[in-house]
Amino acid sequence: MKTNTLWDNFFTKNKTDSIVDFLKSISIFEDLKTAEILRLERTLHKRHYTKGEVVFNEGEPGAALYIIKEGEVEITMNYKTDPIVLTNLSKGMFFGEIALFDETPRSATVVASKECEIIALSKPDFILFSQKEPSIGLKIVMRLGEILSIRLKTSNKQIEELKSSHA
Amino acid sequence: MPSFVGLKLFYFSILAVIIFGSVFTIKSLFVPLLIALFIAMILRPMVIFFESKGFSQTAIISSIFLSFFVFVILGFVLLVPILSEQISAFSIKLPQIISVVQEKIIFLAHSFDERFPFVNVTQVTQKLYASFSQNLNGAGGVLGSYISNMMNLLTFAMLVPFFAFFLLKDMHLIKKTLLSYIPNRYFEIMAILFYKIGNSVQLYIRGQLIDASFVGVMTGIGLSIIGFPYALLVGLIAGIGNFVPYFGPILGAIPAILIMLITPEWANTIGIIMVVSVFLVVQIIETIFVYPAAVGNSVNLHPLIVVLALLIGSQLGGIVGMIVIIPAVAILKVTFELLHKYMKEYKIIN
Repeated sequence: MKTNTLWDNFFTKNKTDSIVDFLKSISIFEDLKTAEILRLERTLHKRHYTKGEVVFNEGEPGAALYIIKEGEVEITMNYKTDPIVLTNLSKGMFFGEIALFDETPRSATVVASKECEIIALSKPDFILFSQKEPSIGLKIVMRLGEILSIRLKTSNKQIEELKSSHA
Repeated sequence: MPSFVGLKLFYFSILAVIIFGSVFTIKSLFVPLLIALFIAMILRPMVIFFESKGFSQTAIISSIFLSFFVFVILGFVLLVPILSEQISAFSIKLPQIISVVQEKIIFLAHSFDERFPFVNVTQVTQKLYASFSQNLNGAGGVLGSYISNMMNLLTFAMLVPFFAFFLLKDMHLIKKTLLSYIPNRYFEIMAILFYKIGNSVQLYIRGQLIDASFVGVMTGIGLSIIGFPYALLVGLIAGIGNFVPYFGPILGAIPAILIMLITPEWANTIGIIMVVSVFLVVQIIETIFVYPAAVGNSVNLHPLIVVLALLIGSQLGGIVGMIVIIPAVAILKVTFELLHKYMKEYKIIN
């Protein structure tokens, strides 16, 4: 079927709309309004990874948070010389968020297990953005804090369970 | 992998040298671009501050530039008549200064010859003062021809704010575009490097400007208080000279020494003590209080590097080149230090 590009442009959602919708669906940005998402979008970097390509290595300094727009990644960690798979993450999930807060080396290696479109928010960009837009920066930090505290509670619970199972 | 990375880095370095060299040869664009970059870096924190208060970026930058122009024009209206008067009066006295200096050198050489006839100082000094007078006569000419070579002063004055405006407005876009060409492997390291280098350079330039302004203003005021002729001009030169590490105070003091030589009422012990005291007090306050607070120890250039840089700067762009090259070398030093540090941390090099 032949498409009418003029009407297509009028009625189809443009790229900006799709990226705004996508970012709004990510938990760390769900408190942001459309205008705020658009301002944040200017600081984000779109990266393309081929299957098997390393996003970052365990032990390297971290400097960015990554959000998977398309594809899948595998997170591995070295345990006594052998790497163990911790988890697989897919579209809409994010990783590397701790790098926004501390300077300790990455705790795991992330490899693209499928071809990936990943959106990166670098630490320097996030600092600069928060200086310019403190209210948006605070909303993101509050959401990240909430997510990290939930993870900490879950980890504590798992440790407790492991301890009691070994007791 | 390391050899591949090494090869890539080698090609990248060659490319960087070619680009840097080409830009350097097009001095007419390089100098305004460098000055615009300095201005953009100085004004950036102000833009960020007002942006955090909810103002639009374009409105902030436009207002800053407007205020900057008003400030510059006011400065010109108030200071330029006095300065230009002092400069023209000084240039009239320049031939007199040269002949006085020549006389002093000849006198010194003759007395030296009498004491040490085997050295033949007269011949050496003849060459020395010939080169001195040539340099001094040429000093104004170098600056003049430099500016006239740069298309013209008006184009220069228009290019600097034009570049500075867009560098301020679209710096993040330029950075984002550059990062989009960086391979995934080096994305994070480059993101950090851009940030750290930008921050260090910004702090260095701001610190140097504060330091130089302090020296310039205080020397000018101090010399005015003691009634020294051409105080404003000497202060201005002392401030500009302060950009050059180690030799700055000497460079800044040269005009004062020359003026003292031709002004009988200042060429005496009390006059010398008064002028030296002004320079000394300003330098002591600057060294103890202003420099550590404004610049710190972030960019310490080795004296040998400073001398080499000054020689290269003078070859490339005369007096202007000598002043511009020191901040440029400092920027390069910070860049290489950070590049080396992060390449090690990311295990790109061992």
